[in-house]
Amino acid sequence: MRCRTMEAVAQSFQVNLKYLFNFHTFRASYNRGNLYLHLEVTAAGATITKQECSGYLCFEEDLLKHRVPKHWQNLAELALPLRYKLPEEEKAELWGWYIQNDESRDIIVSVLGGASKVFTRKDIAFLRLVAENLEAKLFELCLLQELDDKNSKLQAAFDKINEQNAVISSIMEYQQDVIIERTQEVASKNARLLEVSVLNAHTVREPLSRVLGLVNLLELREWPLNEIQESIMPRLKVSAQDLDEALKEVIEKSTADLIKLKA
Amino acid sequence: MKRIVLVDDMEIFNFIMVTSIKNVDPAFAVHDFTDPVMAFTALEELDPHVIFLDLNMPEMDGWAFLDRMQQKNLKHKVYILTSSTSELDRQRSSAYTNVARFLVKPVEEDLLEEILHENEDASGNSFQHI
Repeated sequence: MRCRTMEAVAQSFQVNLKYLFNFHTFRASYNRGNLYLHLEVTAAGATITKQECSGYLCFEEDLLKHRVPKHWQNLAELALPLRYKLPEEEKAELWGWYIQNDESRDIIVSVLGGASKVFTRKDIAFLRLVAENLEAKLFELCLLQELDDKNSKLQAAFDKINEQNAVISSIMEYQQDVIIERTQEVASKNARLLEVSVLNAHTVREPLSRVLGLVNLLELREWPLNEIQESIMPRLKVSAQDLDEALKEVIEKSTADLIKLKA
Repeated sequence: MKRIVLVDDMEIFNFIMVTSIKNVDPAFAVHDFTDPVMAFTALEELDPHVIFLDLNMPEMDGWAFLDRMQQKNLKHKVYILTSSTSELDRQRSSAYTNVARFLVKPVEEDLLEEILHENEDASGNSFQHI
């Protein structure tokens, strides 16, 4: 039987187990590491529970402890769950076995029989075979389930990575835009600064060229002192003052421009 | 003798130019104007051989002066004389056919002498304009 889920295994047991031997309740409990599996089959249905705590019935604890097969005919002393209760005339009997394949694996199998469903010793070989094969099947399913879980976790992680990659890409794109924008800003500021400096150079150069021109005149020829005092000096003084004014103005303007451009 | 017109709103520049020109040859007739409008009005009557023209002036700048000359079809030889070293101004001035050179203030004496003499052509002092 190729069952892919616990439910399918339980379904199959409910349908097929009754053809192998007679029983009211068949129960198998498995333990591997911290994983506990319990299969219970009755005429009414079959269940498989999978849990991380033991969940043994009282008589199972007893089997686990003494590790010998048992056959109970007086069930009243066993504190069985209500579902194990059979009519008086059935003369209920409980069979239990402890099977150990290696240190880390425990198998406990039990059968509740009665007058209408007689379990006999010749059925034990079959029961053992079923219990051991069932163990392999159930843990295979557990592994498959774990694999599925891990796959879906991997897929989730993968999706998350893709999502974050997209976010990173968009951040990088945004930063690219910001860099381009800032570069343009810097370029335009530089151009403006250059413009300002050219403008300032012209403002300064006008009075300076007057000063230079007047000085050149002095070298042109011999000048009588009174002519220098009357013609050259007053003009030199005015030009020098204008140069001073121009420089002051340029410094003021450049400072203001720098402050404005930094803002 | 050669007639020269100076147009510059700064009197000091005109003073420098007059003194320098007279130093080259005291016989040159130099007419200096601080008002470009008055200079333009007197232009036809003075009929100068050479005009030294400033660019940066209030009311009418050097460019406007050149444009008016073009409009009135005046072809007097113009030397632009400016304290601006701007390459843009230099390029702009080359668009006017009557602009001979673009000079940056202050003009060295040697260069001025060369300019004043290069305008003495074979026909002597009579420098005719069409």
